[in-house]
Amino acid sequence: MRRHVEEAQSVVAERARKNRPVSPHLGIYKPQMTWVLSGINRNTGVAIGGGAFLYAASFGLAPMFGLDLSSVAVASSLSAMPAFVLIGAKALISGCLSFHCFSGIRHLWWDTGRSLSNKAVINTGYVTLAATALATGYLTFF
Amino acid sequence: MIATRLVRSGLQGSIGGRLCARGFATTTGVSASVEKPADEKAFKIYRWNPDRPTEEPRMQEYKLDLSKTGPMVLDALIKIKNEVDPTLTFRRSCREGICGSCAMNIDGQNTLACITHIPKSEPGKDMVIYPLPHMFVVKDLVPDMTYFYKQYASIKPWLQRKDTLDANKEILQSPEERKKLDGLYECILCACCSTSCPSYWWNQDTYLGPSVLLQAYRWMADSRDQQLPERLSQMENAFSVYRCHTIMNCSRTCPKHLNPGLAIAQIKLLLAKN
Repeated sequence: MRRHVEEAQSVVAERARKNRPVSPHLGIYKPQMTWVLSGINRNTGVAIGGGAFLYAASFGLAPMFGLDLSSVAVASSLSAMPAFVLIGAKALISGCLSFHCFSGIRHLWWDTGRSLSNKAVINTGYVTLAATALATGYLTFF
Repeated sequence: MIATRLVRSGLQGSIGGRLCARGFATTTGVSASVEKPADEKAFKIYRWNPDRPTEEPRMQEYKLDLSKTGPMVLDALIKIKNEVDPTLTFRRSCREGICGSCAMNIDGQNTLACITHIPKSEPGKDMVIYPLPHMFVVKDLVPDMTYFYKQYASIKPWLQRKDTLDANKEILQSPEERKKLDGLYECILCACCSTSCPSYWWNQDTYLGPSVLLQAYRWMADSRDQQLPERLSQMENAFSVYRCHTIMNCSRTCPKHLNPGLAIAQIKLLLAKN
């Protein structure tokens, strides 16, 4: 009888291990200053790095396809765009740049072992967001 | 029993009545000297049954009358298990935040069910309970902690000496040296912090995670330990500690109000100095 129970349990355990789910994570975790800003930092970094790489690569490859991607040509084609597209594009790029810059300073500060209490993490997060808003506004409109 | 009834009816309607009711959270039919309106709250709880492993996990809703439930989330879970659905499975032991068994994700944050108050019932505000995030599920709210404990063992969480010790003699420590261990030794290894950490979610196989790293630092900071270089060299790789990107979910969620994020920063500083 005992042996029967043990076998049944081992069979159940093995079947369960094969199919056991991973508990929900990112989709159910409460959005907070901590991981949301970290995610934005990661994504703006990817956007800036990827954008710079793509522009540099297309700049190098453009002559092969008879395209002109020089600063003058890009500037003149941009000036033909409607204002809201220009402002939107400038806000997006300068937003990514300035957030990643200020967030980077925050990380360097943290790496010295400072401002790592819960309160300081939230406060420096707000400072980063405020500085980003100011810098984005300045870079977009001036 | 009679004495209990007398005490309870004597305290009915007072603050003491609520406190007292906690001890009897599982008894139903509170004597009705003050008739309270049903204080109903829905609990949505993650369910998965290993006996039917091919069935998808689902959320099951239970409704409880909060006026007949103890104040803590663990009280609600025990009430559901005792009175509504005995198949609901979760770990619990001490009910006072020292064993770490009832760590789970409550309303989106990892914490201990036994020291988390049930917020006052608001219409349409359900309480949502998941197991600790990104862990293999054994059943319902029970995650598989095997690998987490293996990682803990890997940092050799014990005092290591190079010299031979006199078994009858204490290793003395100054009050200042002892003070360095405050905020480290209190960790109960509930894994709330590690399973709140996105880096640990994506790199669980190689990254040690905040909980284990807090313990690693606890032994690095101990003046009586003599294996600091070995402890540090174990961390000298791209993954064990450097997968920490200072997200700080760990310190935010720690139910014991410790600061694993700071401990990891200290390890990184030690590594930079040595």
